[in-house]
Amino acid sequence: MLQKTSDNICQIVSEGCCVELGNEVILDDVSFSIKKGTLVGVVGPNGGGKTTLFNTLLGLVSITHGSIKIKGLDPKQTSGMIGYVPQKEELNWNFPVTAKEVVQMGITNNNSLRPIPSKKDHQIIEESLSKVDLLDRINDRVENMSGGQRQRVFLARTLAQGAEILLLDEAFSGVDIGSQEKLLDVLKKLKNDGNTVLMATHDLNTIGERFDEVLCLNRHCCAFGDPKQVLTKDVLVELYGSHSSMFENHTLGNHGHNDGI
Amino acid sequence: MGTMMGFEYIYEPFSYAFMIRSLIVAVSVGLMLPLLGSYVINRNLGFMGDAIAHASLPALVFGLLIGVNILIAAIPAAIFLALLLGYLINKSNIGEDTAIGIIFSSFFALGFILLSIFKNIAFNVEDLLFGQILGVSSFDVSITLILTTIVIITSFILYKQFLFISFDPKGAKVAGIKVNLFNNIFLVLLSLSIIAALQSVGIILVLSMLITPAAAAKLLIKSFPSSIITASIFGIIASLSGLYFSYYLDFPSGPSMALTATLIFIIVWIIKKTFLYKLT
Repeated sequence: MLQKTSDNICQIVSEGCCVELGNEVILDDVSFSIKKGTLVGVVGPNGGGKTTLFNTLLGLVSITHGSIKIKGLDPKQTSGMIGYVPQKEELNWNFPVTAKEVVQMGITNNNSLRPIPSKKDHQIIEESLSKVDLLDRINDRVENMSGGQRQRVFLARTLAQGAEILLLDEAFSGVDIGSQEKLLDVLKKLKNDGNTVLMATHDLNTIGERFDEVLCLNRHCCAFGDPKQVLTKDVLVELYGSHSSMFENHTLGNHGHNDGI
Repeated sequence: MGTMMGFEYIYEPFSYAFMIRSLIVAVSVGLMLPLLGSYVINRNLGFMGDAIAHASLPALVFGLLIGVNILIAAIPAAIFLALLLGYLINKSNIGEDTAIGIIFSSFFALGFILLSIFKNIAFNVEDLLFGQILGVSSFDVSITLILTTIVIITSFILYKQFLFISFDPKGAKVAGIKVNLFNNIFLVLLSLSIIAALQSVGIILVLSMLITPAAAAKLLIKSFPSSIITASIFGIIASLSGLYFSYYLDFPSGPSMALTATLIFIIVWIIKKTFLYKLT
């Protein structure tokens, strides 16, 4: 299942990655490799390690054993190379920021000493919002936007940042089907532009239909590869345990039928 | 005073040098506290501001003891306190409010113990607690102006970083922003502005000037940069009122400023309730 590929082709290579938080092993011997320009869905139960994997890729959590290399570098050395689309709950919505202000954060660094964006900054902000089809909402407050539009604004921020690798944590949470489709269209476009996208989600149907690869995480890597091949009943049982029966009728090619897998 | 008419009440006090000095301090304090207060109310740092004011008491007493200007004694102490609080919040696992509460109460208690030991200090403790803006010296004015300049310029040039770390601290860290550094810079600015305000507002009520004008502005204005400017305008109105109440009615300046700030908040709240929409 795991295809080992050399670092110069793969943008992200995890080999036997273990992460311990306190006395708990959150990620145990997780291995996978992701090529540039791939759309990867990360699935698994709550507490299965999706967010911890993202935090590890972002360099916020230390690896206990094994390694993760991003473009050949340790995650702690890749500051700013990875774009992160946060969960809604991680943000302080007391600050009434506009789409423009959020995207501007992507071009803010430790030495940005101009409170007002320059002409070049404006251009980057407009180009980034244009790529996610939200240029017409540039001056709108993000809090007033729909869940899907918010996600796209944060995607635009990662583009302004110049990140090639994009991580989206629970991007479909609170997002209606129509907005999910719009978001997926944007992700596909970004993928075709050469971006590598990892998205944590609970939507297995969408994974099967729209993603190139799926990483199944339940503290360990249950499976990694083409979703049409790896999302089997055994993998679902390994992922979700006894609750996996609820997926039996909803796996690929068995929408609502009782004739099993 | 009895023969004065209309506007004379407004400008007559400024024929005295001490009133000019007080005016400069009032405008400075009214400007810078609500400026930072706009971040404070949105980041729930009000308790932190109150703690810095209270915990500076031992330093103020120490300054009085060794005979240096209390601002000079309090500035290094406040910077130390800000960094200590920042460190404890980041590193300790006892919780933010608990860490602040322990520092707040223990330092304030130490200040009062020092005051009770050294009873011969020639200073009115009430002025320290509730403010006495009419008593500021030329040296106080100079220090206040320097602190105000530092606070305003730093807040202006680091606006993008302050907004980023306030709105999305994790995203900021991921993007390579030195979140701890900018948080500490913010806390130091907060401490400096609180210290500059101690003589006019006093330890007990400094919180009112920090949060009430900013809260009133937030009710009225949605845009964050505009709400900062509005908060400072409200702050200046409140601090000037403290000046006039002190001059004409001999009220302590801190409570006068605090009550005017509250009055502004109530008026804004009524306006908002009446018109039922927010200005942008």
